Amino acid sequence: MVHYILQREETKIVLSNIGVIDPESIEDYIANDGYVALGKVIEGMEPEEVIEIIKRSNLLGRGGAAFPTGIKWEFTRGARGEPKYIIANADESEPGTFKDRAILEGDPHRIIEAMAIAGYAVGSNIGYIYIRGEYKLAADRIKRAIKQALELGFLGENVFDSDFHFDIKIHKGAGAYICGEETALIESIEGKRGEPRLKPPYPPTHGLWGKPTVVNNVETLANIPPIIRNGPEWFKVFSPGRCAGTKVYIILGNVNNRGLMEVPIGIPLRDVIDIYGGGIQGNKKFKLAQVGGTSGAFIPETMLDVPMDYYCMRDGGASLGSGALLICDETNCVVNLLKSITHFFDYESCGKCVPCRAGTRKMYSIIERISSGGGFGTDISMLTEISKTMIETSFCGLGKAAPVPTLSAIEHFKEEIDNHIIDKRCPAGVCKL
Amino acid sequence: MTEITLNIDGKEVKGEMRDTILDVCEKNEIDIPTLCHFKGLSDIGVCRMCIVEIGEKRVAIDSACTSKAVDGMIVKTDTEKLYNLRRTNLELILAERNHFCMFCEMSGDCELQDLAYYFKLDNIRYPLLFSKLPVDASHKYIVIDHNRCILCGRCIRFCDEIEVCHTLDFRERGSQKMLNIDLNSSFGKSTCTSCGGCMQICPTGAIFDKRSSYVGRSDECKITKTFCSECRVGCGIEVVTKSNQILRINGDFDSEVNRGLICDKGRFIPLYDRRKRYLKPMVSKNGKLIESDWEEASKLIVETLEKIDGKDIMGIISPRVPTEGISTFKKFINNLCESENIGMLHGQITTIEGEGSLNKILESDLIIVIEADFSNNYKVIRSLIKRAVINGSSLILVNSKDDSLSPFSKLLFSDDELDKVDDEINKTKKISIIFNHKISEGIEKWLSKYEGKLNLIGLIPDPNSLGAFRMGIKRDFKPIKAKGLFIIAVDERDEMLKGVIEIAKMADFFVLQTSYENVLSKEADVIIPALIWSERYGNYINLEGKTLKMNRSITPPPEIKECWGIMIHLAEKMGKIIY
Amino acid sequence: MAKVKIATDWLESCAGCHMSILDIDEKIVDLIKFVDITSSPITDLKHPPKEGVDVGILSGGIGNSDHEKTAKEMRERCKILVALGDCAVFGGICNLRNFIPKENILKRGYVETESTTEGKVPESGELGKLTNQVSGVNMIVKVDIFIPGCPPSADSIYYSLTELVNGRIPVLEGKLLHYD
Repeated sequence: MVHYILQREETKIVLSNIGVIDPESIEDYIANDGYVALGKVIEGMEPEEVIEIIKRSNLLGRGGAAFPTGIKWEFTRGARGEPKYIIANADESEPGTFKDRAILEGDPHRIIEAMAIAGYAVGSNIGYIYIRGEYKLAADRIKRAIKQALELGFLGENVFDSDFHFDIKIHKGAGAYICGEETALIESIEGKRGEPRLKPPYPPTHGLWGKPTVVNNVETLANIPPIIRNGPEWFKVFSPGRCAGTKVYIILGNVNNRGLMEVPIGIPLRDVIDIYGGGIQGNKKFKLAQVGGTSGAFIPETMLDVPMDYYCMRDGGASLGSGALLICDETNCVVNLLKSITHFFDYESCGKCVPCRAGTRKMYSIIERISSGGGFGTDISMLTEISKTMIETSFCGLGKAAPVPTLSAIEHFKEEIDNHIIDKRCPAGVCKL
Repeated sequence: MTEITLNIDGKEVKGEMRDTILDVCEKNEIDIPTLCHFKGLSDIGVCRMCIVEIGEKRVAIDSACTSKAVDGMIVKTDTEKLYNLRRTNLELILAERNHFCMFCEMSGDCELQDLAYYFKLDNIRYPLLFSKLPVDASHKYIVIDHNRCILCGRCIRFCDEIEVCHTLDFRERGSQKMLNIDLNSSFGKSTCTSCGGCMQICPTGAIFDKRSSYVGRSDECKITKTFCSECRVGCGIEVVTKSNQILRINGDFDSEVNRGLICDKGRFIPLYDRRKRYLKPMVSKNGKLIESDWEEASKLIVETLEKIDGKDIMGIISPRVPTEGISTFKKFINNLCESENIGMLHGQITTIEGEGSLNKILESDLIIVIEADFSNNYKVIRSLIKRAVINGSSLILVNSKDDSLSPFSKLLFSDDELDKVDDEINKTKKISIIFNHKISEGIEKWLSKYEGKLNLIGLIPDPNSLGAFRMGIKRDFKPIKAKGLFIIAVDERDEMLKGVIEIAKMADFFVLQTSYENVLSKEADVIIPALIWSERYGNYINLEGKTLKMNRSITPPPEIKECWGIMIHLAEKMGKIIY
Repeated sequence: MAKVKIATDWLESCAGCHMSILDIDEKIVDLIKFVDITSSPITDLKHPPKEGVDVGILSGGIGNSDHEKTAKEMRERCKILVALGDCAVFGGICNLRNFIPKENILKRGYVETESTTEGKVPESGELGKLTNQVSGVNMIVKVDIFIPGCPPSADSIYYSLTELVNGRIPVLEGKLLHYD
């Protein structure tokens, strides 16, 4: 068993400034090692060196897809096309996820610094922050931060008096979950309907306006300045397994400590709940955890010892996703939970392709009927068939991920669903049949 | 083009470098079900019917229409897994909206229904939704029934990429996604140009034609390929008829001229013609036109004309008549009536030879449009110009007469700035100049220096005046006070006949051939009924100088002959033969 | 070989499907060598016999509680249940009433019709109650074979019956499969 740093307090890389500095003061940021990484990069490193550091650090994308960040930057640098773009994906629409909001509201300069470093490494001079339309305070603080950075020469022409220049623009979203998908986000910035594009080609070769584009999640970017300051080996020390660094979890549900926790990657779920979450409220029994957001699989009691890193979770049929952890105790009904989840996807499907558009609607109507006592014997096989079709044939990740909770519920909690369909009874006492 | 080889369903097949997997399958006659794909439009891969298995070790499932074909790819198009996935997607489409075949206009011609038959669907496993969606019947010719829409987007892509009008798009998302017109307007009050392309290309009964709905299925109808004779482009059309009645006119996607795009002048307006038609010859007796017959009418014409000297006889021919008709008429007037007085009823004014190429418009770097008004004419050419601009061409307008092209244009000039236009021309290589037929002398002189050097296209508003022009028949003929006047018109509207009313009034004996009652009728002494467009056949020369062969789609009523048939018959009566 | 026993009934139906059965015309003379039609709405015996039949044929959709009872009874008393016609397969034309609230339908039919004075929506316990939605027969009981069409052609029906008599499940395709 690899020794890892276990402490009652969270290990903070990403959240280290939040609550500690005044987010509206650039001086506070500078006093806490702010813009040191950017200076180091511009005054002493070649772009290829920067990319090499990020690659060696094993940083994986924290938005859910977990693609190695260093490799993404390398592809974009090598791709042909001018100008290149850096986009920060701040369209945090996954229900139960507000980590990016905390970073943008509490430490906005971190993202500016990270984007400038990314621009230098990749060969880009323009950055966009695509921020969810509902995040008004975050957008205001970022705007102010950009202005402050421009005044002090950390952005704009001649960053650090060099001939590198970098500008950041803000683009507000308009209430669509699908625009968190990178190509739908790019379409939205281009002024079109926020519907995903065909992949391949991928954004590193054909992104915004057809030019090479890096799209990184806010949490991923927040890791960049510390890695540059402290080096890639430092980053790897934080976690026991193949993944490096920490992950910000949003722990919600029936636990005693709810909120944001930055936790070393690789700690088993049981420890996250007991140590960081403070255990189940009221001493009730753990029933299931939904890991990764609304499209996360249901993890039953039997899988609580799976280490929470990207590789182990994938082997177990789940995914870390955005880091939202919904912990449910025995008073929750799986069917009722599925009703909210399928309703969410029905509402947020972009409607471009048939399996997702019609499939999410059908799944919601079937589950809704089950939860109100109108279940048929063929319902579970219908749900399974629709789910498999969506996973195999959907155009983008939303359609491929939406059926996952339902399928995992059918795998681990079939008896409870059958109670609703056949016996017309809700064991948890939640659904009105 | 580099050739590539793929392995599809175990067979080695060949394709070309830029092909998609679907292109390769189509070239090699491998059948894959499709729904949102249409040749000539961009592919978006939303229906998920054409999914194929790509690869051997790690099999990916993706739509064939959007996947680029790569040399050495291994593809399977017909496995059981694919069959089940496609079938489930189809059932999901059918359960999504109200696809009831029993009372649908399109039943029997519907691509969605055909797919369901292909999969042998005899029931839908998923419960139906019964959402009440609107039906928009506000447009003059077209109905949109949102309940039957499968959101394939073909109509939007046609309106966007071919007609370049962009009236249609989507709004909302997910299961609320709907076809949208402008900024959520009703179809009747929109920017729609009524080209009807959306209606023709819709695979289901979601967008359909008011006039021909519920009147006949394709397998009960006859389809005649011909071309439209409303203007000089000569767009290829397919006329759909049943029991010698026209149901509707479709654009012909195989035609090299227009590739399926037509306009409302060719698709709708001819079918809504309510004018009174002459079915028998009419003779004027005591100031009133009385129905007569061929014997009486032709006898009267021949006897009267034989008595008149050639210099007092005038013949005027419509440029809507095929070349055969024009040449026979010329022989009748020149040889039989011994008259030199022959002219064109309406049509070409300018003498500039504008036999350019329409395809070259799309390849031009610079397009110059002089004084054209596209609001009623030549909308097909306007779409070609817009398409070229979107693909990178520059557009200059000189004395523009309507606003539809201004947003696409780079520069606007008036007709005294022609030297600036010269400057632009000298900077560029591939140039097309499109000009109105009624241009001033100054512009005509300026244009003449580019004749033969650049791609010149004249927007002459009649189908065959080039044919007449080549035979020496001019528009600006010298009118005479005729003792015998013979005017051949066909289905002209009154505006086109205004120029000859005075001549008709002055004539002593006036023979008028015409299809419909018009402003000249009351001056005529004899009226001969003429064929209308769907009954005519023969050769026409379009504005590119191509000879187009028109086929008749309707058998005319008895007693109505072709133009040259009338001439031959009259000649026989005179004891002569012309052909 | 014993004759195959058939029972048929109609639910919310226009009777077009049964007319289509009769449309088999003279071929019915050959058919009844192998088939025994025990009960139908157009013969003397109206309900399937208690000892059960081999093939039950239902046309029409499920529109009220009486239809549900008939469908369940037919399902109990037959080995193979056939849904005949679009209405039985998925609701067919009868589906049109699903777009209008039930109360409005009843009002329009019993109160607002042009020739009715002092109309009243009947509430007798003997009458079936309208279901909330019209549906195909397979939403109430399990259906084994579907023959779509409005009505299905006589050829489709004849083909399906002969297949069943020969112990095979009919698969409709080509001209025999049509939804209108």
